[in-house]
Amino acid sequence: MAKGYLSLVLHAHLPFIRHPEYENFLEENWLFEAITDTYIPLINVFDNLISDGVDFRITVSLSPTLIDMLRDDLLVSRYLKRLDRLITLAGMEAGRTRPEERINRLALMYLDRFKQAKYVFSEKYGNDLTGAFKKFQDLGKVEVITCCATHGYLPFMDLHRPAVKAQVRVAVDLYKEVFGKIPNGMWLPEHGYHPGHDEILRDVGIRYFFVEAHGILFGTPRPGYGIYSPYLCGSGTAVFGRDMESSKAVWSSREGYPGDHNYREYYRDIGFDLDYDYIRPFINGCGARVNTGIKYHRITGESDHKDIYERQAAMDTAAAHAEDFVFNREKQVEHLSGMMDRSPVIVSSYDAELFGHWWFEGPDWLEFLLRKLHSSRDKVKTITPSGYLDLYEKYPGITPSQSSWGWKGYSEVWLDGSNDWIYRHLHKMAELMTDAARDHKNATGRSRRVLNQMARELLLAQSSDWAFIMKSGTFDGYAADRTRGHIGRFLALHDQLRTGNIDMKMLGETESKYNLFRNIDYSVYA
Amino acid sequence: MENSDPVEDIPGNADGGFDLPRGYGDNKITLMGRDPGTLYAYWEIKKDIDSGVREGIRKQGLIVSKSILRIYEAAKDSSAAGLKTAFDLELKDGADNWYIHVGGAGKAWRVDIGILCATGEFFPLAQSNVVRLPADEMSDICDEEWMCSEGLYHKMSAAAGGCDRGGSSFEFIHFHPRDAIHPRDAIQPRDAI
Repeated sequence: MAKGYLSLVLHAHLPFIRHPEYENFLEENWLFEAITDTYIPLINVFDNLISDGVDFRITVSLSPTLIDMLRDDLLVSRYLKRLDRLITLAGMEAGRTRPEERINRLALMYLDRFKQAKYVFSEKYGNDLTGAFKKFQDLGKVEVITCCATHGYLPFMDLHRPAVKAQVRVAVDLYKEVFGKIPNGMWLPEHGYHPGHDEILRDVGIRYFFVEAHGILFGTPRPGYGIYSPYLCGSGTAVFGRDMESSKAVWSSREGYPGDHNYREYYRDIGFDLDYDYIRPFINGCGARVNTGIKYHRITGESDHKDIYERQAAMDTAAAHAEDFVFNREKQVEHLSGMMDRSPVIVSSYDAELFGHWWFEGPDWLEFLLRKLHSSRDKVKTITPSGYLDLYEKYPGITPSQSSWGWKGYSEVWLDGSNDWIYRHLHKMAELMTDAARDHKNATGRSRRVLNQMARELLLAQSSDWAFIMKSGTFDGYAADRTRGHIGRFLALHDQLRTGNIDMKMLGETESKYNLFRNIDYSVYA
Repeated sequence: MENSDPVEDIPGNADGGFDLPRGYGDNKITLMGRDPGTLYAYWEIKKDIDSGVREGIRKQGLIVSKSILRIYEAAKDSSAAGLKTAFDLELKDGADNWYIHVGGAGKAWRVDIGILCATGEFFPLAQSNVVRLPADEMSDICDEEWMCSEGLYHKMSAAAGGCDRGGSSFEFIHFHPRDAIHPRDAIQPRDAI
């Protein structure tokens, strides 16, 4: 047994965005950029470690909406087109920048990365990246868990428990379909926990979930191990608390590693920097400048002046930051060992998209970190939450406090003047859906299709992303439109179900557009 | 070049076109807990119920003073059955939702919407669900098997950053990857496309 354990958790999630009615849709790029910048680089890290015989454990949460999008034929074909366009652009850049050696090296680096991404995506993993994660899980290195169906913020659904259950059950059903088993753990969206929801997790076979540190520290009874051990809720489901110290080292824009001046600058992209006529074919279909993913500068400092990015210097910095992270975890474990009668576990969890997309060197940092921990395994060893739960016979009990990882630790991000209008509709929809499912048991034919699509529309309307985006003020028009659209379609379908006057054209179009959870069964709400 | 001439994106409303109902014909008030010190209530009152109550008030010879929210609280560790009146809030005309600031972490709350008469009588129009706000401090309850002194609690709490919510501070809004996915795109207004 190691002196202490590190449980790294990466939560990968994007809201369901798929617009077959348009050839190009700006917000679909969120997925495409995340695939190239984050998911493929992380997969490369895991493949590299495995092929080099590095022993590591990490937990990756894949949200159901992301799983569905990664397996969607239309989005996959659009991604490949985009990747081809990027390869073309990077090739042009390799030619254009030839006289400037430092920039040219970077252009060639991007060309190589994009070609490599295409190989990994298409040839190695057959256009379905979930297969890569399944492989890592089967090898015992990565514990793949999932999140609620559409990343719905559960504390605000508690008035209608069937809605909470549906978010959980639909997610577990999809996970089983893709990964062939029940997930060991669940990432509660936004770490939003409401007392009692652990029972719903238990009922579907989930073994553990996570909360923010204060969810444990303000829990009852008083937690004697702080956040450095899991606890068992009354339901028997285990709960882990997120460690702030290690999280901030990566998260914080002020204190965290990603702000180092040697790292790549996110905000300088050739989509904005180069001549419009040159870049026009590679930016948004409508001609608006957008990020291409090709960036030649480093953070440099606070001012607008940015130096050229030096890859080797950035790699050296990432290695040093990995060393620093390991050093601090070892110190943390030493400190905790004096207060605990068992080996502490430090849970460091992050949004996966931070790695690679925002923090370009994040995947490299992770690879350095896991190699370093492998070589000094006696002090701090990586472990999955399931692995830690197998270490001891007994764990203390707790009822965690209601909490989230949002601003101030509760629900203010998802309930303020910018987004509070949605809840009267979401609550009504949950009520109508539950009643409809109970009134139409064993529905068949058209009624069944209507009920299933109503369930999809409700789930999609509940996505916490919309309220978050409304609050953040970027893309708020899209988030409001999406919310209104799902509410409106749900109410229209409900009315058609009630009157028996089903509009088959509308139903078909809606099923085709919002086609996630193909095997959903509305009776999950009954 | 195959992809050099992308098709236009469609500006404006991507998924809308729906006029949402202003109400659902319900007579109810719903209460939500936002944080240890804030409740949020929204409501819909049927016109016939409102006018019926007002008619009843008039028949009793009473005078309507104002529309209010009456807030009830229960002590921290007591059940919702122990709810007592805490305070009233006067409603502005046309209001259909309200943020209610209370000093009540860990306590249970309920809100009635109704009509207050000049002589103090209260006529409820609807009663909310009960909400228990989250705790914001150490529990007084200890587990006998897993004893935890206050001293140990504070040491472990300090090791955890003292309930610091670092990953969820305001920088969360600015630094969240989902926000950062397209920070530059966000300044391209869709209707300018």
